[in-house]
Amino acid sequence: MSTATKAVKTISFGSLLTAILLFHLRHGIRSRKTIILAVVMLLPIAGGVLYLTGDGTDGIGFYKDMVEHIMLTFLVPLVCLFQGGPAVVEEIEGRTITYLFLRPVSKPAVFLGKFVSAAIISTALVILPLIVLFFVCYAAGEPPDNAFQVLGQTVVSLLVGCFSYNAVFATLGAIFGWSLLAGIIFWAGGDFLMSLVPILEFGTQNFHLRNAASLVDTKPGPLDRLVGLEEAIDIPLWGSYGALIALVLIALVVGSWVFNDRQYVI
Amino acid sequence: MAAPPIETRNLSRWYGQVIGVNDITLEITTGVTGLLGPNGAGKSTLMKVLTGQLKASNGHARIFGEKIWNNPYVLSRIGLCPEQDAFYEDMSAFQFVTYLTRLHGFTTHEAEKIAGRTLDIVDLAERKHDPIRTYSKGMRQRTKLAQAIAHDPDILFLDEPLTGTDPIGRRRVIDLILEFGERGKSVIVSSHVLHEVESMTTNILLINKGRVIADGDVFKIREMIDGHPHLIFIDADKPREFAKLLAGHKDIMSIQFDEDGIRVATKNPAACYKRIPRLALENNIVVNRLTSPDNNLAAVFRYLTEAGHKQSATSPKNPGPASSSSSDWSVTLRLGG
Repeated sequence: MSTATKAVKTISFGSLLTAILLFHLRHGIRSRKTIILAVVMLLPIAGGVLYLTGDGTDGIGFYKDMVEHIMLTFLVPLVCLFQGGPAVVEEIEGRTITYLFLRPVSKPAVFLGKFVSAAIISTALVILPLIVLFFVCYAAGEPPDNAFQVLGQTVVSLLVGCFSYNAVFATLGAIFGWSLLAGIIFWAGGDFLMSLVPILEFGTQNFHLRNAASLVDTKPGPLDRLVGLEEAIDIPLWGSYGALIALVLIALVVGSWVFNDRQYVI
Repeated sequence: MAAPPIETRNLSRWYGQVIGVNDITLEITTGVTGLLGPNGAGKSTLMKVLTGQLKASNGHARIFGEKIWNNPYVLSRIGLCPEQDAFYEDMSAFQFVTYLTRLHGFTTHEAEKIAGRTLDIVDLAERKHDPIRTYSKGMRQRTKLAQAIAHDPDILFLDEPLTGTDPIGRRRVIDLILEFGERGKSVIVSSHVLHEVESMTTNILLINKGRVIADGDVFKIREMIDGHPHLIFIDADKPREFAKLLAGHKDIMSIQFDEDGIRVATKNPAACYKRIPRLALENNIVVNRLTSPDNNLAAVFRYLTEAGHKQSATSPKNPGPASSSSSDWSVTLRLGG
């Protein structure tokens, strides 16, 4: 048997990406953590129903508050922490990564496939309750004329949020080989706390996601005044979208590069 | 001249301060090769480097003359049955093998056909659609084997493939390995149990403490091992009576009593293993347990290492650490460090 000239059968980048994506979507959707997260994501709806049973409530105002303070700040990072972070780490900890690394495949495509599947599941977990919450709030009182514009902006913002947080958490997983602690440190220390500090907030996903959804307060807060800002600095919507898309791209390039070259000792 | 299927030159791999494999130079051709060594000897590390799971810290390894790390050409031509019992537990063996075969560039339809055929070969056809989490240890082992051979690799690495298999499964796996070897492929089987490897090949590579200490014909190594006192532990209901019966035979070098039973040192383990059940039956003695502390090979390796050093000391032709040989032995002892 000639061994030196044997033709090599390999899978194209696109087919590989699709195969990995479909495989992990199928498994991710049925996983226990996805079901638990789906239940957690029902909480804002339940809260909305309870709050809006009272008289004189501002349904869309309540919806915007829920999106800004609960969903964008806590629930989106939480969902992504448990979806994007483990995308790679679960394979390492479960030691199934050996099977993938034994195939003649592009490791960056494996990384990207896993990231996209995590982002899609996260988006579904976040957007569906968001839409239900919107219609609960919409039905609660007299909605403003721009109610559906608010819905559109928040949907797009949360969708971008799901991709950007997943990209960061998946990359942290590829770098460290464990994701939960790294993700929590990044989110709590690097994103949430920084988003409360004037100027520094421009470097956070939280700020840009709120800005993209037109949820940033245009009046300066006490901390803004403390640093001498008489009025809040206005960052255009496209600026925030640009920053978030750039973050996703940078995170994915770094994550793919690390995943391609890293030796996972298992 | 075509490059050998597997070749390493001064290959070393460290985990921080810990040595995985150290300065290994070897060539492996077609057929079945047994990679023998006690637990922690470096067998799995060597396999991981040869299958592109790890990079060499020093030296190099080549498959068909090509570098291994991130090389699709190499990865398309090798298969590995890893030691770890890791799976996507909710998947069936059929889904598992189909998915991994698909990643070799086959269409989904082709991959399904190949997976079905391969699972037939490893005798998993009846349970192939059940979740892997419901499988026995032996079935899981055969599932791992199926994913390793489904794409018909030219080189097959099997890391402790017989662990947990029942006698029938064990026979099936051994037959498959032999069949692969007869088809002109290279099969590297790691084990810490000598007789397991002996059932598959006569060509072995002994590894200990990260170094290849001997390679060649298993019969010669077996002779060396058999010359070395072999320990057998017997837990019987009448230990003193049994010890008395055994003591009358010439090959018995010593008998020691301990709390659980007796420890017998023999120069001829094959004869002694035959004799023990016969004597027990003839004298109505119940043997509860019969084991050998030497079966883990650690003692054998100590012995081989010592023998090698003696050989090294008496042979002026010994060229040193990389490899040394003697015309008296068809095995090559590799000494050093």
